[in-house]
Amino acid sequence: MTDDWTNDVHGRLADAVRVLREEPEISDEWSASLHQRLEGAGQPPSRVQSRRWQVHPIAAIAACVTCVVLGGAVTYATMRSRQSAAGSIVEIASRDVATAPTNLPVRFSFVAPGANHVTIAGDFNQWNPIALPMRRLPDGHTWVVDVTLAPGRYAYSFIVDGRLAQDPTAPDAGSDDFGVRSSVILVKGS
Amino acid sequence: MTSPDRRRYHHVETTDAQLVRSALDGDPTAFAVLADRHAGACLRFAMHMLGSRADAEEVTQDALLRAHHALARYDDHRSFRTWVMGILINRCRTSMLQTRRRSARVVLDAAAVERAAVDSTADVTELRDTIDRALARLEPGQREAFLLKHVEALSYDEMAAATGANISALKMRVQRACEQLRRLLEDDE
Repeated sequence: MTDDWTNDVHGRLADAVRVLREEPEISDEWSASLHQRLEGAGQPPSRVQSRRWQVHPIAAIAACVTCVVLGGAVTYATMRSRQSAAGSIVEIASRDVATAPTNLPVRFSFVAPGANHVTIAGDFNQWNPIALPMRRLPDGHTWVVDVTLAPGRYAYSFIVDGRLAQDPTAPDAGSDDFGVRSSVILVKGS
Repeated sequence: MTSPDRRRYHHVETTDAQLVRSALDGDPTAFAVLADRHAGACLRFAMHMLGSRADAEEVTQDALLRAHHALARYDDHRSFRTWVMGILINRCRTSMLQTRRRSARVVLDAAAVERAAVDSTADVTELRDTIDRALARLEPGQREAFLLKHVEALSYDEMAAATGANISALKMRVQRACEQLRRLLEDDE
């Protein structure tokens, strides 16, 4: 509250303000009437709806710790998931999905930052290392290829700049006759 | 202990916020202390706004009762006085609309007249009459802003909270009220 009126008003106006500031006398009758009405009004309604939340400091700390732990767990899980994806991602439209018995569209994808050439080889192309080149997506590190496969089980591997790379997100197909580990995809029919 | 005694029992330094908490916690005398504390200023403002002691007493009691009833909604981040003033301002506006006495605004305060007649010189009495006439000629919005600023000593922030008007508009009203009052008071000399 500011009370700097003497800086703003001068002379006769200042005299007027002094007079206006005099508090009127309050009669005993009026005061008694007011208090009678207040007593008659009873207790003011409680502040249930407008009361602010009050949290004990220990509860607040415990809540913060819980949030940090949960947040960390979620972040860790997300990072693990992304790390796996950095190895490869297989988006298989038909995997675990009942579809028609004809050939089914399947998209393979593989995250290979810094790779220059990626292909896929497997049972579906007689392990030809150059028959199915993958294309790089605009993000610069994800490679994809779309194929159509008949329902069945296929072992496969990615070939990144001439080196075989296993799909870390798919089941392990075990070592082939040459000691190379590959991945496996199961394409289900209807 | 009677009610007035219990009211006096409250220390004068007890803050408004503490009294509000006590009232909400069930202390029946706490709000009475608040009412006593602010009744004078409320009555003064209402008298200057309405120009009638009887109307001012009525709206002041009404405003304090409304404040009592709405106490749970009082936000203690604001000054209690500003909050009550806001309620009182609305009651005064309503009263002015109902009675339409703006054109015949005269301070009918018998006690003030008596006091002026007994302890004042003719100059002081004349000054009071002049002030009353000048205030009566102000547009109600300007009168309200002038009284809140220079008589009730509210800040512009508090005035904005109490009236619902923005600060620029309030400053303009106060400035115009001062100019007009100064002119009216000088003309009356």
